[in-house]
Amino acid sequence: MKKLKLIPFLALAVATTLTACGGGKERPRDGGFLSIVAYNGGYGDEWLEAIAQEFTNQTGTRVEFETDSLILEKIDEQLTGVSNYDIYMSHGLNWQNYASRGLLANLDDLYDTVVDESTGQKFVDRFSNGAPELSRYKNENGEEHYYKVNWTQGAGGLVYNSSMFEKYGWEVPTTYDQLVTLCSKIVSDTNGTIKPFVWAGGPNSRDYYWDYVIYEWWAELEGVENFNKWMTFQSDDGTYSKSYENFNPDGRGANFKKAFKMWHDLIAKNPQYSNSEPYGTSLSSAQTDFYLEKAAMIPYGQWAKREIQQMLKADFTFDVKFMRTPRVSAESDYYNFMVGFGDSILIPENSPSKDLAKQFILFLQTEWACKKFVELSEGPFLAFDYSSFDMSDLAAKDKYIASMIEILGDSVNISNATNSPLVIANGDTDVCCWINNTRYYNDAMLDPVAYSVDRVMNDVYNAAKGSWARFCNAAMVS
Amino acid sequence: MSSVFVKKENGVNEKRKRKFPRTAFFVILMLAYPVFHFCLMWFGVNINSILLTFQWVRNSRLEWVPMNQLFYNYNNLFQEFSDPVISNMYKASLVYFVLNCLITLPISLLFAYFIFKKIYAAGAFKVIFYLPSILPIVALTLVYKTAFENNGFLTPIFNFFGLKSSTFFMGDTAQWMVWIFCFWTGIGYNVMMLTAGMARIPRDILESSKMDGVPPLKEFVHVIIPLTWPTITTLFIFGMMGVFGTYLQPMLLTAGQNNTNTIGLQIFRESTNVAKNHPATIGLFCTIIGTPIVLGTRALLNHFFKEVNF
Repeated sequence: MKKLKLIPFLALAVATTLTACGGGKERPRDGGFLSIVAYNGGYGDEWLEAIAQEFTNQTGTRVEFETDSLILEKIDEQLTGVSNYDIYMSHGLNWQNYASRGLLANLDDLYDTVVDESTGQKFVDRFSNGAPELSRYKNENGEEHYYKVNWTQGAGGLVYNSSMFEKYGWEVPTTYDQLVTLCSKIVSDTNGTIKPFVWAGGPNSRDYYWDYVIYEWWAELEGVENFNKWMTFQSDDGTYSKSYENFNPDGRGANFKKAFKMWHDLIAKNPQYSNSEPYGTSLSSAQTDFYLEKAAMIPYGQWAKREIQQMLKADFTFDVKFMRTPRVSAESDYYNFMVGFGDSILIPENSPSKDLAKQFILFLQTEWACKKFVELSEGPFLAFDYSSFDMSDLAAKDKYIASMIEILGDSVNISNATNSPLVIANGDTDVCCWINNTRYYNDAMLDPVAYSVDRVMNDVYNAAKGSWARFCNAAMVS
Repeated sequence: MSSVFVKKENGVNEKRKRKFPRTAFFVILMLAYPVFHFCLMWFGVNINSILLTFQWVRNSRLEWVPMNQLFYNYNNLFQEFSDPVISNMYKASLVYFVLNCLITLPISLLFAYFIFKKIYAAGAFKVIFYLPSILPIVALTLVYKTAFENNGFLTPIFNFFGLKSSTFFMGDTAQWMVWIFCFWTGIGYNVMMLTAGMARIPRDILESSKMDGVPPLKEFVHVIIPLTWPTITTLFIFGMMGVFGTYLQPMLLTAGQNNTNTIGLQIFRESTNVAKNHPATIGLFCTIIGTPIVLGTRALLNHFFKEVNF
């Protein structure tokens, strides 16, 4: 009898063991409802709640959702075991790896779905900027299919205090030369009490926000076609073993060097244009300085307004806008670096509600959902084409959103999203474009003579040469 | 203690003790969890890591290497010594042997002795040493980093001496900042372990040496060190393993930049990539090199002093 009493304890011990090991296979979920998880980044979750609610209202489908900052750590186990979610939305997902292992649902039928009966427009046509091309990959049988949907698009560059610009009568610069002049004017008009830029290179470093500006100048100098070709990390003959030559500052890396030189000339050589010791400034300090109007501009991504307000727990008391990055040449188009363009929406192969998940994604591309996302995330856009939507109501309500609409609408949109095997195997921050993620903004700011443009670009080139074999070996390319 | 009644042939119930089955059942029950845990989390994980070293990336997924290229990953590993990132990583990791074993541990030993001898304000020193050991490392690194930023609380002090503390995490000084942090946080743990070891030394030994007029330094060298030698040996081995295991400090302080990247951090960073074969190979290589060194060192250290039970 006493042995019988031990059974529950034994069962508990086994259950505890399995739970502790994370090896307990959960019971597969029933279909019939949708479970969604989105990365808990700077977008909040109000947009997901609103869109899920409306989807439920229209279809009667129950939707459970959550935002989570630990998706990346969980997803592998979820996809290979029992997935708690039917849709994943996040940055940094190794979706190509999951696709090649047969862990993602084939989305060919979704992309082939007609979304507008009157025009015959298909889902695949609802994107801009080549997003569908980046969503195809080969599965375990070598067949190419669609396996992801691009999640967001936005802007990277300079956010500015437009009220301050109006107050002092400063024109928004449209070219690099005008930007140089403006910086000088800001300092002289305010006796240096207001800095042109505030940026954070210190703790929780965000010096890489300057990448966005530099990429835009680089793409303009390079031309969008060459820029995209560069981002394949191949040599001209399509091989990889010597493609570190793309970083040669006297060769294919010349325009990268020119773009960095523009930054170096403007920022590194002019410490009076930046906050004091930006290499020792934390993100929160930089945000506070911008909020307190100690600087006119701050390099950032599309999430700037919401993130700064959330961080400081206060709304801006002035108007902020995203600036179209001043062009290298007045004759050129504006270029916009779409931060987060590689972010993904995935449906796992083991989802019991794949069809419902596809329905939800189809709902996401509707005008109502697209606009709701912009409205509630306060700036970022879903990766769909907004050109046919009337955005005037949102633009009238929020000048920041209005500036985002302008930028995405009339710029040449570029990104560093790529299916290059080098990037997939090694991660994007090591390969592109500061090798091994060694950035030089802080060093150049501290000592622009020692960290001259030539020295920095040669260092990058040499680092590429030194590490390229490792990158190629990891990706099994030659 | 419980018992069962067995009916004997003569019809008399006799109480007979059955110790063995109960003891065995208890032992099995108590061992089940750790054995299962060991099999899955140690054996299973390590076997998987070893197998990963015989895989490579094809079409963005890991596949077995063919037999004619069985040591593909190992060949690459040796070629990579010419990659400055990798060679600097090994060099930067080896520094932690010097830091942990030859600097932090001896100094910890001295501090632990001072605390053990109840010097003036020993209690306060105890708190000062222990505090970094009990606080989460994320909080500690944040406090440490922000202390040196351009409006950090230590900045005015450095400014007074004409030093720009906001540059301390840049260039060559970044390494020093990580090492100082490791020393600061590591010393508390060592002191804690060593004072616990010293507290076990029988009072009569110490009183006897005191009556013989043994000065503190002699007592430290000839009594304290030999009697806490097992703890010192353990901490020395832990310190050696820091060569392979240190990763959180450089990750949180410098993101591995400015030559602060370590073996542990490289493995951690690469483990999120598709090419998990590479970090697995580095890990196995370090295990193959490190295990005999660690075991040899342990055997050597154990020979210094005879183990004393008290």
